[in-house]
Amino acid sequence: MAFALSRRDLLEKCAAAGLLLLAPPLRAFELAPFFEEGALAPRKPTPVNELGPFYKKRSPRSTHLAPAGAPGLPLAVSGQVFDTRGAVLPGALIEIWHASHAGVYDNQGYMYRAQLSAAKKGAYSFETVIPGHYPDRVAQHIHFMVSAPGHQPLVTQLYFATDPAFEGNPDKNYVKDRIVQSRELIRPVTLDGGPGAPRALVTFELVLETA
Amino acid sequence: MRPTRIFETEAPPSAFALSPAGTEMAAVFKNGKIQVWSLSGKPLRSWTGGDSPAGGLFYAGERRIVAVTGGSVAVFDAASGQRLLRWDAHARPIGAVASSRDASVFATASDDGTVKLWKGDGTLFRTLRGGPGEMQAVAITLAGDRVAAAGSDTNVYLFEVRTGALQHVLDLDMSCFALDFSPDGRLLAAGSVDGRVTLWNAKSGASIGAPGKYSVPVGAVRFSADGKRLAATGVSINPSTVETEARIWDLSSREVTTIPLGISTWNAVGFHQAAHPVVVAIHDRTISVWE
Repeated sequence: MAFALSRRDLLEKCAAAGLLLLAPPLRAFELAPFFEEGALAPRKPTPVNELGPFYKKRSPRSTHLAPAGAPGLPLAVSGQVFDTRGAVLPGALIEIWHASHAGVYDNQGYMYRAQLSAAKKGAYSFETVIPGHYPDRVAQHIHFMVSAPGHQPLVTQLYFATDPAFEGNPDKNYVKDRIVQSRELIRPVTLDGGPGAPRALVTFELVLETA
Repeated sequence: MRPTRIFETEAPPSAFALSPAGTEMAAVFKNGKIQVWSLSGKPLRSWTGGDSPAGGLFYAGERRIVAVTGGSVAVFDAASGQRLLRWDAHARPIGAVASSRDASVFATASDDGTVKLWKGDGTLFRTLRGGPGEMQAVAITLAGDRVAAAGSDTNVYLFEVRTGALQHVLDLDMSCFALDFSPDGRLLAAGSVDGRVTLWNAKSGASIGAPGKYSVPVGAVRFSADGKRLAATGVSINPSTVETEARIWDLSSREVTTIPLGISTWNAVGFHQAAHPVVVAIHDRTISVWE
């Protein structure tokens, strides 16, 4: 059956109209895949962003990037990997790297670097800390390189709507970092864990184009 | 070892270059002004024909200076400062420029992921691609027959200039900002962000090993004119507070000479009169020269 609205738009509309109540940290558009009835919902490819000079091959397979007790706000990132038809890509290889809380990349070792494979339904998740700022880059960011057979490698970066560099208005201020070329890559941040042990939660959908 | 010369510039240089023969040096400032000094720090000449804001500066042989701004290239006569050519080369910023000894072939490496090859008159004749990401560094043999390009995907791609054929993909753990062919084109040296200096046989692509490793990113590598020595410098980035040094290796004996540079965010290394090492380190407005 064809619907006038995509599942994603329908959920957003229901949430806005008070027809659907979402407990934090759930957000309507993230639930779209669970409301699908077999049909695929086409997706826009995730905008590409610079690879940068700090990529390192052969990072360890892990879902925990920060060393134990590392300073900084703990961060959990999760999402799904899709193709542009909306099909999930289980097994997609996701390489992630970022600077420490102090804004320093570990170029001698593999702290804050990992690779992991998307699981069933294309889901992935990892834990780390919010990266710091450093000279030459205005915005906090996490690098992603995602590859899957039959698809173009996706090189992109994840940014945080709460980044002080955006001064509370990422719509207007994302251009302060010349490398941030798409507002879509700046993701909302949800805090959980309570006042004594806050943790940031971010979701980031990765959509690859067919090769 | 103390610097032989220390002098101050009018502003922090945006980019800096040492001439291939190690006889003079040039800097470009944010407003597009280009200044040339002798190794003793004596101002020789300056001009303001560069675009603003300036992004990079390179010697093309001894007689040409190339300034880049974003994706555009301007070629100047090094002696007179006259602008000879200017063209829009890439849609994204250019990170590095290299040329053959006679400046008949230029190579530009860009954030757009390509290396473009240009005739001396600015005519494009080849566009070369590697893997995903940006092209960060480029080198051409003095004869202008082969080009090496370093991608941010950490591979170094070796191409034949005449055909554009990819001859070898050299595998590194991290990317390079520094590449140089030996004068006879037989060896290729790369300096990586993880501090490694790596040597290859440039014809076979076989690794000859790593003469040394820094704990900071490598900023420059340069062979001596006889190809018997290799000089490299580390740069104070990531973090910007760490002190660094220059090293000169005798490639036969592997004997190494070390020159502490302090904190240096930009530096260059070469060999004066084909044999005597020259190291120039920049920190803010201060230029220090070791001969």
